[in-house]
Amino acid sequence: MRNHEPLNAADRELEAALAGLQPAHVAIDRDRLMFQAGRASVQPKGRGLWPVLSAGLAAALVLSVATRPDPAQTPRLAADLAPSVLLAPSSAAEATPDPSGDYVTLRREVLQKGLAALPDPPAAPVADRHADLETLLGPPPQNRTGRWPWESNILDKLIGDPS
Amino acid sequence: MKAILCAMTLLASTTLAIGQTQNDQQDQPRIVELAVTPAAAPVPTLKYRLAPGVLDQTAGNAALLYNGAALEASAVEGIQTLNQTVADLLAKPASELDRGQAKAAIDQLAGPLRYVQLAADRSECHWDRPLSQGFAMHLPELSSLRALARALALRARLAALDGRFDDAVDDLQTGFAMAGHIAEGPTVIEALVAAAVGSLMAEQVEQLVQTPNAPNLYWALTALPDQMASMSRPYQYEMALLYLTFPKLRDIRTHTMTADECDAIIDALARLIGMDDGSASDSGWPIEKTLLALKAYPEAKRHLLDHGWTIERIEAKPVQQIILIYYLDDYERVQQSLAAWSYLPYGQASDGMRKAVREFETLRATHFNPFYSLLPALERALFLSAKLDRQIAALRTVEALRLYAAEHDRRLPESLADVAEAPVPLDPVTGRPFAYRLENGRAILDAPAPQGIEPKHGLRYIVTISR
Amino acid sequence: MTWLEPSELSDCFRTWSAAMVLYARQWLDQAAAEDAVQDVFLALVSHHRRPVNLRAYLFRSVRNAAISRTRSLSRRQSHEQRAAVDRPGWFQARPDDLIDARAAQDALTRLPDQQRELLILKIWGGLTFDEIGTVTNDPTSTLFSRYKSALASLRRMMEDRPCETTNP
Repeated sequence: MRNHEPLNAADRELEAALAGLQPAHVAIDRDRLMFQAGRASVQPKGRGLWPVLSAGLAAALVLSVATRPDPAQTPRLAADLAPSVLLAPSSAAEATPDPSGDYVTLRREVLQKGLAALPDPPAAPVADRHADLETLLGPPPQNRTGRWPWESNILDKLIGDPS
Repeated sequence: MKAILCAMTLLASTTLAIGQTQNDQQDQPRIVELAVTPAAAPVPTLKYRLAPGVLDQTAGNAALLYNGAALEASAVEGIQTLNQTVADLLAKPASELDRGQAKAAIDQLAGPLRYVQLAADRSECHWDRPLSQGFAMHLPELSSLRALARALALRARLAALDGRFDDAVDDLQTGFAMAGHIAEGPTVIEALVAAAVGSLMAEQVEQLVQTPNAPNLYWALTALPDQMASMSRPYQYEMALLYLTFPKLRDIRTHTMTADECDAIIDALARLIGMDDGSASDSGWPIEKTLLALKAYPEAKRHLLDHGWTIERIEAKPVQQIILIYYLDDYERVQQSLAAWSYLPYGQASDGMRKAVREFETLRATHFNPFYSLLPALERALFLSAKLDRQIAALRTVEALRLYAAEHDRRLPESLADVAEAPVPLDPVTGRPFAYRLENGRAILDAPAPQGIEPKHGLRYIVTISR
Repeated sequence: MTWLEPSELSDCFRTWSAAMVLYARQWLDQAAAEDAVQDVFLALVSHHRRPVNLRAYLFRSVRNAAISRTRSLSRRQSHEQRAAVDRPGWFQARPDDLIDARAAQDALTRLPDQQRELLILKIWGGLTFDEIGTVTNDPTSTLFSRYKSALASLRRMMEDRPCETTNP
């Protein structure tokens, strides 16, 4: 505010209080947006106007954006749309893999920084290194009841826990 | 394993040339001074082999034994510290190497190195990578093999310094075979690791030829493959990666997908390239995705109409599918314009490839396509592969100079054209002869880094005939 | 980069769309106001050049779009629009608000059009007086004195508003 008298305290207080009010939530009407985008993309030359009822795009578009706050207000174009492509129910088909960028990131790092970007070779846990054959192949240690754990499970089921 | 792959730790070395460098300045080529003695070709000519002969090989799949070596290595106590020790020792000049410490370190890795030797003798190597995993594929044993390659190189160096020439050649043969086996893998990263392992061994050859009375290794080096770590097959895999990760994209132009299917692919792709960091719920990526679609859809429709699609065919598919087809068409056009150059040797490919890369960079500055992030840096990958071939060709040239000196009273030639004892190889990077000059009794062989690559990736050998 | 990346467009939407709709509510009901704002973003998406002052551009575009819409409506539709201007509420009612949202809205609707427009652009749009001048085609000096008058009027209206009692 160049060369202006500053606001007085009361006005500043009101201004701050008003600024604290949050305008109402806004949603994107994605169907309408895509419909408009589609209309704008086609320049009719001897084809006539792109018909309002060409609804393949609007009806088929499902994006994960918040819907209108008032569900009673259906999209104004909905009644006009005759979907030529019905949304098939999501099949229980193959899940889309979650690559999480492992290979792409690694490749980019290696090409930029050299093989120093490769992770260090792993070391086996200390316990595994000292495991002898008996520990690896033998039965688990007995518990305090003097029974093997698998025995405990079966017996407990048959006769109940003796303790 | 994901945690391992995500924990990118920068080690001390900053270049792909693992091992000793005579010059660590970033703006200078790697300069190596070689004091060699004249030496005629051995008798028989192929007495020394850096590539295994047929009779030396055993039938079987080397990959299993390499995996065994990696597992063995992981079980060695203090393996991570030991690996760093080996790397540090290898970086020292020969005159500063503590041979006792080096021997002690290598002895601790005797078991895994034995597995590596057995693997290197195998006639085939099938890594059997789970290609269907696409971008989610892991390469768990590569780091361990790289570390074992360093240990092998250190052992070869010790043998050379001790004058045990045959032992040194045996270890180098193992190392070069290992490089060749790693290069059998389908990915660019495996090709790069193979090139690095080969380069490590080539650096030990630099040491070996300087040992007193070292035999001439010209034919041993010539018997190695022309391209130790070719990029053309890995690039085929890289081109297929997207479709291996998202199989539905293969038929996207002919089949109609549901909007949910398209969305799932778009969301997974956004996560893959970092457009969606997963932090926002009702904002962030969902809004960005909508706006992206707003921008792309008109462009996508125009593109498909220009390529013969009818409006009916376009409207019969979900918006997201049309957008995906548009981006994929563009991505494939760019990708193939780059990947085609990988079929040529670097010397023939470099100019055309550089032009294609520049065109892509210009396009990328003004045109958005999320698939662009999946393209690897082609020029760099191809050069790093050719860099090893160049190093071997330069070493062959050095050995050719030793052949010449053996026939010409210990003199070095005025020019490479004077060498008649054996063909002098061309520089694989340029496709032309190496730059060579004789200066004050020293032969200087220059192999500078090409345009767009850091100078430190260049090479200069300074050869003198020692008395 | 002279064009807007999708991430920038997304940021613009997140940052300013609610204030833009609030601004458009001067002329339109909620649905029409949202449509007008979305039209602005649609146009922005199609642009190949970044506007010099993006924020001012957005609000100027919303103003033009909203006024254009009202001019294209029939008298009956225009009357319906004006009747629906204040429904639903302009602001989210939150317990920690320093001022009652509904009361503020009521007071704002009773302000002269120019004063109300100025307050919204300044307080919720975050525009400077210079930027507001490019939106409303008013000189900056006029805007500041109008702003002070608007605040004073609003304060008086809110002070005169009868207190609403709540049931015990």
